[in-house]
Amino acid sequence: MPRNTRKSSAWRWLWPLAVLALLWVANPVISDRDRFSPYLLQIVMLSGINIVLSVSLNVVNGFAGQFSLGHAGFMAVGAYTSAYFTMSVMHTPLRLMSAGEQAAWMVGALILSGLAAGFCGWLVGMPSLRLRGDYLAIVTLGFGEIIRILIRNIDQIGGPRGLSGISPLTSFFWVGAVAALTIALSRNLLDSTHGKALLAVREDEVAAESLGVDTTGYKVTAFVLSSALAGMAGCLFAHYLVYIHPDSFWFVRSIEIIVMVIVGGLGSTTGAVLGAVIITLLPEVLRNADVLLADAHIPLPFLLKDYRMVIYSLLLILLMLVRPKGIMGGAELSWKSLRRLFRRQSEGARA
Amino acid sequence: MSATLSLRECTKRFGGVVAAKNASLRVGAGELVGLIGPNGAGKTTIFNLITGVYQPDEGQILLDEQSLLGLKPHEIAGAGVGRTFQNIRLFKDLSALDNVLVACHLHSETGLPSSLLRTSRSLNDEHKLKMKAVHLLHLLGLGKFERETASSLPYGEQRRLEIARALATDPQVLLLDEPAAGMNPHETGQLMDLIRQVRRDFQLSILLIEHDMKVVMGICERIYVLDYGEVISQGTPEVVRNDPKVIEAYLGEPLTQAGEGA
Repeated sequence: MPRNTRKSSAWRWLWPLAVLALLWVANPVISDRDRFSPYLLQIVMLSGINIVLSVSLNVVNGFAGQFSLGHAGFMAVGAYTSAYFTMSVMHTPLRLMSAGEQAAWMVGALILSGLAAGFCGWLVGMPSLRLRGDYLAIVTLGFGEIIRILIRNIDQIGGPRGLSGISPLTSFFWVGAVAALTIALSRNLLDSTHGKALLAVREDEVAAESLGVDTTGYKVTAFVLSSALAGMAGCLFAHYLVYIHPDSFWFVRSIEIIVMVIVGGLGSTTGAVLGAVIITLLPEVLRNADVLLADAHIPLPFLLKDYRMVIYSLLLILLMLVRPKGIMGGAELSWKSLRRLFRRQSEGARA
Repeated sequence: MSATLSLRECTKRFGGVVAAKNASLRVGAGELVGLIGPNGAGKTTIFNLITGVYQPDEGQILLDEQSLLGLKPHEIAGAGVGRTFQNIRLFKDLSALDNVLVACHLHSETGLPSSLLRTSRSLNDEHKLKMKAVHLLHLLGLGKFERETASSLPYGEQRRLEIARALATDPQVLLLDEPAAGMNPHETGQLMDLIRQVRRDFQLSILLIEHDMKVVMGICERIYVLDYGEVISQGTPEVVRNDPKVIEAYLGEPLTQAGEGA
């Protein structure tokens, strides 16, 4: 056992460093407008931000089995807090800053947004996580709306005009790093006995309590962790688009994140990643279909412009019919599971 | 490590129904005590009072000297009371090993932050807990089911897994709610051996609810009989078996008396 852990401890530190190095190297290449189209870059960035959102929501909706409908609200808290922070405190323009200074500001904004959103998560979670099922959904839905309406009415952060002129601090590196952090946290959580306790809360609260699991405590912890990560996604979002509006965090946005989690497979981290990428890509890919269908001049008694949104919804319905538990169906995609799949197939071929 | 569990004159009312009425019972350190009674006598209510699912309206519940009143169910589990359920409540979608690991989490020495960061301390701790869980599974003859999901286990094994899971919390007192329900005579025999073995190996006090008289009379040292929430009889299996009050509770009043009364 000691030898085994020593070997794995070296790996444990190498992995994250390797990922960060890779992102660091890839960053200038991907951000170069001549080599990589800005349109593609935007899709990549939004996919990354959506990965953070869906993987973090999966911790609450998938692992802990609590139905939260307010993820966009926490994202808004993170976005506005960090944007207000960098706008009011950071006075040097970005182009006059060294890479190190920019990184320091970004880290500061990320931490602040995580803390603010995490605190809101605690505030909402403490009373409402004692409720079960639909009640929690309603409370979180209400919270999201309260946040949005509050923002609309605070003039200092733009109110209904939105907040513009945010520094474009977010780069591919930061989106990748936060996404990797979220995925790693989610995986580490599930691998630990604490994660097992969280799953136990989902499966049977009475039995979990009888085994010494503080069910309310675990639900609140998961909720706070999830909201803090959503806040960080909001920070990335604000400093990428450099303009945020209260309506970008409407409850439809929350539903969109839930769709990502469900399409990927509730309770699966890799599923949440997959779901986020698919839901971000799908409307873009379908633009081609839009062009094709518009050219075909299908005679309809009414005017239909955005065919792609019709196809998009049909595809979602189809997916839910074919795979009601989502693409991954609660399972994880890993080297181990792939190897097992191949072995089973080759065994099947032999038999 | 066994402890004394005592209920002192506990009463629990649900509206007009008195589910437990001045119920007093005591499980001595290392004792194996049975709790029987007709359907609806309040046996499971007593379990729920002990484990904090319900709070008694009156009375006191003590584990050694510590009062369990007002504690939440998970705190009572932490204090050293483990239980199983009448209708099996395993975590169906989790593997047998994970079911036991959930219960091990109570003894996890590392907090959530270090688990999230996967520090070597947390990994060592996880490894220790996993070894403990595997050991428990083997001890209860469930070693080969380690990776199976709980719901795919045969019925008798699901009951065993529930006991393994309760044992993983390192209880001082174990409450078993009808462990032999739905078992055939062969499985019941195995279960009796298991309960004796568990008590010996883990040095536990055990309180057992059971309808199968062969089990209760066979392994319990003392028995409490409950009817309409009241303890109507107690003593060794011999005493209880021959107590007219017990026979009346189970079979109704003798015919002659009923005739006279009318």
